[in-house]
Amino acid sequence: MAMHTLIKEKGISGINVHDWTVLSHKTSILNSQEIDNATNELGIPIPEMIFGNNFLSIEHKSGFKLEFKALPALAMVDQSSKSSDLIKVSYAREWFEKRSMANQEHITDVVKPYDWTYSTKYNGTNLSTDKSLVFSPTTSESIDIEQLKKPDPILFYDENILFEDELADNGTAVLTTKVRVMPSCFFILLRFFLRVDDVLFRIYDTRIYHRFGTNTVIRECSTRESSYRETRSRIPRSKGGDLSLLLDSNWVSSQLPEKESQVEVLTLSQA
Amino acid sequence: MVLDLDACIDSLFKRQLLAESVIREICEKTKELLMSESNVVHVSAPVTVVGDIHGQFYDLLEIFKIGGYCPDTNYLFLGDYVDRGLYSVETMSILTCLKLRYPDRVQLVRGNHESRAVTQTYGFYTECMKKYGSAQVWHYFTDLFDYLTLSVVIDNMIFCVHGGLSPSIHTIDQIKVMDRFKEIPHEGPMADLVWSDPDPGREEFAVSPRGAGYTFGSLVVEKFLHENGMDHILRAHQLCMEGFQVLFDDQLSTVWSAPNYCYRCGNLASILEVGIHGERHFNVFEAAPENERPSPTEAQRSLFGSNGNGTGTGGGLNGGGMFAGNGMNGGSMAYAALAGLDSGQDAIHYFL
Ligand SMILES: [Mn+2]
Repeated sequence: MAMHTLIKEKGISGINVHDWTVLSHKTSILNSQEIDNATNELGIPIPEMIFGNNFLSIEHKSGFKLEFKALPALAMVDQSSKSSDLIKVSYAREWFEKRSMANQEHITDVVKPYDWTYSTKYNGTNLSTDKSLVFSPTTSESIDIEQLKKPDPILFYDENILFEDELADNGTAVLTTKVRVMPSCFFILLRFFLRVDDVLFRIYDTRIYHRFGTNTVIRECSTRESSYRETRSRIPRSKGGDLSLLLDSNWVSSQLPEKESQVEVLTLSQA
Repeated sequence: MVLDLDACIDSLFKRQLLAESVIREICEKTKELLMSESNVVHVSAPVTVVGDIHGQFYDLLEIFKIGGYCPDTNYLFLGDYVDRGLYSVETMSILTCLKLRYPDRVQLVRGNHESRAVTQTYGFYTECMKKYGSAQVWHYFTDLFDYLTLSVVIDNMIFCVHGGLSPSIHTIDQIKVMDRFKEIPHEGPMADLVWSDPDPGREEFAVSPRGAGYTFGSLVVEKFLHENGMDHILRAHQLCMEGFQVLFDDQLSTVWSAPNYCYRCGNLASILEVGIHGERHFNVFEAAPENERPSPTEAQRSLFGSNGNGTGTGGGLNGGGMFAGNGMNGGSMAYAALAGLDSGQDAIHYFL
């Protein structure tokens, strides 16, 4: 068994193992003052449940540090003028038509456009002291899935929510982290999961893998997407009208085709 | 058999579910009662106003402990009784019984979650299936939802609604003539009342970038209050860390009554006590004590909106994973056995 010490403080849990420190911090949603500040800084309304102080971080003795936090993730949400044309809620057309019939079309003031689905391809904030420690694309390495399927003991496991929004009950947008540390490696999943009811499903996954004793950290980013209708049709007939499978990002993920994926590698300096 | 409401209320306070046939009878009787209620119910202070509960029944019990029991305290509930929390059935059961037992002392306003469409995805439907083995109870309650009133006015001074204002509604009289006895539509004044949100950064109405729904600003609030001779708007619908929020120069309050929302937000909650001279006092409270809350396993099940069939936060075993598709519960057990793990350490931890 690898030498390790578990960390347990107020709101923080984590592990020291080999030359690594993994920390997960969980606390309440932001208060209204913090929300005002974040809104001003980001320039968009922030998600209903904003765990802006939560984080997951991994740090190596050599100075490599990667952190996962909500606000930098939200800073990557599209705010271009086209951003809110991309996806509309299922009844948007009907809504606009009836609205003009009701003579409400004088309200042309649309809240500043932004991608209200909060879709973000954020894949971590690199806080390394050594600026040469960056991820670069690779075709020769990949995450060792077989290794991860082995029932090795788990020294540390944690999951954390960074933000969540119900899109005014039109679906869900949620960004979460999961981490597990085994004697031989650690593995992280950062997942953006989006459901827009009657419109679509989207998953942006970032996976981080390191095998202890090697000098590389591998990052794999993937995009999955499919229509709501197609995904719903995959609910087993025996489940009938029960749509709750559509709330389970793991089930949905297993049903969505992969559209893109990219593997990157970062080489740690000799410690 | 004669319906014994006091006995029903007692057993609900003891966390016992009512029989399906009893729920049916209670819903039928409450529908009759609500049928004669106006779309704008007028009440007098003192009254205690409760915001979103979202199935957090143990926190509702805490509210009665803090705010007083019926009929000693008059209650106005602002909607969103169901979904998200684990005890929507208990919450609806007790609120319906209390309304029927003390019709003039308990008011139930409709929230956007009091709808067939929304409850089908956000938990209430699944909970009914789980607790009663059929969708009957869900049908009884969602049929009842169609009868709930849309707004309440306290002492002709405070306008109370779940969401907010609508560009099609300028006067209270316009609400009175609406046809409310139906599923909440996607658009129109009825939708706006349960959906819209204030935007302190604006003056007028604005269209949400989602492509449906409005936000309303300071001038809208001022005009509405002036036109109707009132001095305050009271609404729920928006989560806030402090449990309440006061906007627009004290002309609008949001009251939020689900502490530690979804068993993970860590937020406070409040109930708003309106006194006989119109004075408003937010009574702020935290989540019910440890021993009154669901077990961590139960709360865990609701985490990430999982459907409570034992998958918890899920195994993350997608596509080529070992236990793809459903039947995750069996999968995780099998995995635990395979891995020689105790059942506490199952596939949830072995996500891919
Ligand atoms: Mn609501």
